[in-house]
Amino acid sequence: MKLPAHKKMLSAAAAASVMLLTAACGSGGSDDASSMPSSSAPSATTDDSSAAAATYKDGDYEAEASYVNPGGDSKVKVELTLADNKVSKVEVTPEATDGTSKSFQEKFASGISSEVVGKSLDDLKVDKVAGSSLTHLGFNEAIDKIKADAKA
Amino acid sequence: MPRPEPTAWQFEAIGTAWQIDTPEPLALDVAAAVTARIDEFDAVWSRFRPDSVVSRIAVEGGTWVLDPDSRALLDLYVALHEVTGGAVTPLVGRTLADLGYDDTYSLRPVASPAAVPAWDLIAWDYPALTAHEPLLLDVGAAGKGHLVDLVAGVLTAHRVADVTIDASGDLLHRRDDPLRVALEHPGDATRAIGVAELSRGQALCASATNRRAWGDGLHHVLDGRTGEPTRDIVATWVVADSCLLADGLATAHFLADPARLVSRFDHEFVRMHADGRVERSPDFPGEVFS
Repeated sequence: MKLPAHKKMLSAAAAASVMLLTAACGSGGSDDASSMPSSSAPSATTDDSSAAAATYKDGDYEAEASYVNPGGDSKVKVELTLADNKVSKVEVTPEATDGTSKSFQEKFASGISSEVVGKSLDDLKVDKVAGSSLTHLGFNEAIDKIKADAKA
Repeated sequence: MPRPEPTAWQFEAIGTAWQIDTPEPLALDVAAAVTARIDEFDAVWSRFRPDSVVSRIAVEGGTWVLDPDSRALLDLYVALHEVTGGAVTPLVGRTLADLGYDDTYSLRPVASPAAVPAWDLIAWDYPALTAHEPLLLDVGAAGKGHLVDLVAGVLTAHRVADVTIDASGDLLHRRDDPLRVALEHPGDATRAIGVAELSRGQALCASATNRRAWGDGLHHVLDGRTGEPTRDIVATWVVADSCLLADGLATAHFLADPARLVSRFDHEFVRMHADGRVERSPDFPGEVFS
């Protein structure tokens, strides 16, 4: 016989009436999201999975952005080249001065390689692939829907 | 003599594709037990269904008695929260939903996403989980890996000794022949940055932010301290002795100093920065191309 997975013991009625009212007190950094090119660049190289499937002008782009990582504020400079809506070249210059990356690099110096291009899957004998293309089915459907909406 | 090809059972559950490889097809009652275990997990932890325990905690708060299988999951969250200084937390649910990763997959962020609630609004004292106010929990950082372990437990109970479970990025290998797994390049799905070689009993979890992204800088890995998606790391792979640990650490490696994680948890990792640099632990089983 199976026991129920859960059972409510008591209800914190007093606590339940205290609603979470912190919604408006965000960290104020969300504006940065749109100015951070490096996070959207990798997806642009694979397909047009970002929500707004737009047409971009060919050319060279450059931007500098700051962001918060576990070690504090960091800056990166991003230069990329767009051709036919694809990123043909991307160069990111980390300008981090915080301690996390530094201490990490000291400890794992031998384990850090520069930009890894990788090998073609066709040239590898493997049983499985682990990575980002294996994502949530519903999520992919939602992305497709948004793309369809955007075209409508 | 060539080995016989294993039988692959493919199905869809908790919104993702699963494949269970066994030397012989699973008996119907075993398959049914697997499905039932997954449903049970979903009934507790899914924030995408209104009748789940998590959804009810989001409405009512209060104290809940959880099943024994929940213990390892929440214990790991407590440990990860501590070692990452609050970056890994199950309290990101509302913020994730506000950013668009909600029960309808609206993928449209609200203007002012909720801040991540303070840690002390929950208390975990097995078997009791207390939410001092209604809170939306999200165990996305480690829940799927834990479920893979639970499914493996069901199979062991049915004397299925040789199996590989693959829940789309969360892998548990329990066969004698090694399993070679390509580490997909997050920027190019036709390429691999390395190959992991798993031996019996090892789990591999992969996490990447680029595909499960729905807008500029919006994806599913949030920093619990800022409530914002991470930016520096774009992909992680972790090998550990349980899929729960591998999954939780795959998330933690987006958010924490690897040296701290390595000193605290027994595991091997590879992680890739947004600029294409790759870091790895010295004993990662397999090869990382450079």
